[in-house]
Amino acid sequence: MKRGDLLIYLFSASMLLFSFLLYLFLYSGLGFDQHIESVVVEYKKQVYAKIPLPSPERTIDINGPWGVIMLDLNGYKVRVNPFSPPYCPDKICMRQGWISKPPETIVCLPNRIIIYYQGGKYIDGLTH
Amino acid sequence: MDSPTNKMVRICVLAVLGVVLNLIEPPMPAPVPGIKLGLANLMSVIGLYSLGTYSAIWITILRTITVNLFLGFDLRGFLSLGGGVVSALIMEAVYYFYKRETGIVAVSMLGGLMHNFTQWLMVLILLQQPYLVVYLPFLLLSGGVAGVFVGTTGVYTLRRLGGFISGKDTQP
Repeated sequence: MKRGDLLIYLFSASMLLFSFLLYLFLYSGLGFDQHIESVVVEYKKQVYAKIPLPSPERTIDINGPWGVIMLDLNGYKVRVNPFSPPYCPDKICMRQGWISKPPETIVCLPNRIIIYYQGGKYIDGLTH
Repeated sequence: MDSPTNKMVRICVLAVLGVVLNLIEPPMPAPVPGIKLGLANLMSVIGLYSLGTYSAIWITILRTITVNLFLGFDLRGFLSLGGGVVSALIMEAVYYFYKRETGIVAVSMLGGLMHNFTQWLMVLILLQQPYLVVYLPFLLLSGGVAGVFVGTTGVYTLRRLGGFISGKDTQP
C-alpha cells in the first residue's frame, strides 16, 4: 500500500463514520420526534394522501398521475403491496417491504414519489 | 500508435464494453433498495490506468448516454450521469496529481464512494426530505465495497491485458 492510498482510506473511513453517527442520531430519536401522527404519500412535492395512524389492517388504493399505488397498512407499519399494478419498471418500492418508524421512508425515484411518516409539532417545525 | 484517433477508438471500445456490462448486470438483492455492483465502472478504471488522463471521463459520459438511449432517458439517467461524471472527475484528479502515491484499488474505491454520495446528494436536493439521511451510511459502504471489488478486478485485468488495451503490445 502506498502513502496516498492510506489517506484515501482514512478519508473514506471518516466519511463512513460520520454518516453512520448521523444515522444513529436520527434512529435513536434524538433528531426527530418519534410520535407518529400519519403517513404521507407525496408526489413531486404535492401531498396526495395523508392517512392517520395507527390504522387497522387494510389495503387502500391511492390514485394519482402515476397510476395506482396499493398501500398496505397494519398498525404503524406501512408497505407498498407487492402485487400493486406496476407503475415503474424498477419495482424497488414494492420489494422494500414494511417500514415501521419515522426515519424510514419508501422512495420511488423515477416517479418522485416518497412515502414517509409525519409526527407531532416538532417535525412540522423542522420541515417548514 | 500514439495518434489521437487511435486513442479515441480505444476509448470507444472500452465505453461499448461498459455499455454491455451495464446492461447485463443483474440487480443485487440487498436490504437497502437500488444497490448495484457497478461493474461498468471497471471500464473507466481500466481506461484511466491504461490510456491515461481524460479517458475515464470520456468513457463514463459515452457509456451513460448510450445506456440511457437503451433504457429511456428519465430521472434515473440524469442521476447516473451525474454520479458517473463526478466520480470519474475525482478519479481523474487523483490520478493526475497523485499518480505516484496512489494505487488502483484505492482510487476505484474513492470513485465508487463518490458515485453513491453524489447520487444521494442529488436525490436529497430533489426530494428535500431529511429522512433520506438514513440511507447514506449503507450507500457509502456499498459504494466503497463495490469500488474495492472493481479495483481488484481492474488490477488483474491490467496485469494480463494492460499492454494490449493501451496498444503497447500487439498480442494479448
